[in-house]
Amino acid sequence: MVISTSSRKILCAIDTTDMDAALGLAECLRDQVGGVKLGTEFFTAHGPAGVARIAYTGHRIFLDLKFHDIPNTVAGAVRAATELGCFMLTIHASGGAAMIAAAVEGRGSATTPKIIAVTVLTSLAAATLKKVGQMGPIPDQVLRLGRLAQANGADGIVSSPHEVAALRGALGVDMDLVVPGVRPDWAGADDQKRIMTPSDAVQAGADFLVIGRPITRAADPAAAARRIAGEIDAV
Amino acid sequence: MTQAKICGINSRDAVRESIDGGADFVGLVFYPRSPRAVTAIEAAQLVHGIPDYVSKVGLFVDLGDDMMTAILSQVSLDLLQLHGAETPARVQEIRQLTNIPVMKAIRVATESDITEANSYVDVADCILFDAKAPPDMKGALPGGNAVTFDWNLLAERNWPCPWMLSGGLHAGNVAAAIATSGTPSVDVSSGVESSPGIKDSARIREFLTTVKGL
Repeated sequence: MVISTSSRKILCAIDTTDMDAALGLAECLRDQVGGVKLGTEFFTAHGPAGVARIAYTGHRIFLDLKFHDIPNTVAGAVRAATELGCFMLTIHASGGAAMIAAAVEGRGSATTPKIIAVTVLTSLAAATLKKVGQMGPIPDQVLRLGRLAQANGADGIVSSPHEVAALRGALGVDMDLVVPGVRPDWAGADDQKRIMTPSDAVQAGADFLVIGRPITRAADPAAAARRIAGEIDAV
Repeated sequence: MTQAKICGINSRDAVRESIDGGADFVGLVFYPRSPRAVTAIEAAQLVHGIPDYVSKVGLFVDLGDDMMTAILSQVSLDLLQLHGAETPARVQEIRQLTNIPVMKAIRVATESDITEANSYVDVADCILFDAKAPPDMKGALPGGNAVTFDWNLLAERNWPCPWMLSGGLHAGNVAAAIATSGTPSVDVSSGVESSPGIKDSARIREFLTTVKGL
């Protein structure tokens, strides 16, 4: 089955340690989203074998483990993720130029996984950053790290919804912008204060949307994913 | 001599026991719900060193091209066992995409299930007759459910391609299954396990000794 371009932009975050629940979601979202994102919670519980089981449901896997280590170690981790067949993974841009380049090198001659750099975690406020010794406005740091990632061969960066437009302008069209924290206005705000809808984010320049609870907590996750794709289409 | 396939191997011991016992095929499961599922890397490690005369079979259930290609880039397989709802057209597509022989599994409960195989004989290289899990079975898998079907349904038939019998076989019933169905080859998974997903060396040995001693 061929899925629509807007469905392919949606990456469903499956954050759970419950393998049965994860498989159930993956199965019902088959052909409804562009992939599933598995993070440290799932990976620590189930490891690469668990990732493979989710991949066998037919989904592209976005392995969100945010590698941040010495360059050699990150290169090795990317190599392992490449062998696992992931189509996208994350590293921390703050690991520095050599680490970003090593991550890209770890992929070898393969074209996937896409190497996506995290700039500043959205949970960090300016005051928090100051306490760990990082001065200056957050948007400056995001842009600095975004440029560093781009200069060292990363394929894209993770961007908060509100920075998409600025980053798209600064980094050009070739960088993939992966955007978490978007929420359809019918899904309820939860703990995300400043809401941006999926269609707003795509309009602003997002390539991929990471969406969790609005899909995973819906009574009918497949229908929720279709509804979001429909809204993106309507843009 | 009847050929034997040990399916769902997921340990070095199971591989060694299968080869030593004279298995003709070993099966690796790439299906997420199976307790026997392996990653492509694990599969590559498991098949490493297996002699060429043992066919390496990969079991897939309605898997898409991307994942199939990713797995095949890691592990070399001699036969693809399609255990889902793949249509004849899809079987043909996979055959062309991978250029690897395919075996289509047909789940059997009644006579009419057997006739379904006719639509696959032109596109598949081999047919596998497996038992259909009863509709009320809890947590039923596409295969490996330790249920049998009436082997008489397969008796006195001529198939234009090689075929295999599966479904609830074990050392205690495999001789009768071969005698009744006339099958040229048998496939076993749960029948050589101590519990779901845990292969048992002694049971593998006993199964192969029985089949090869007939």
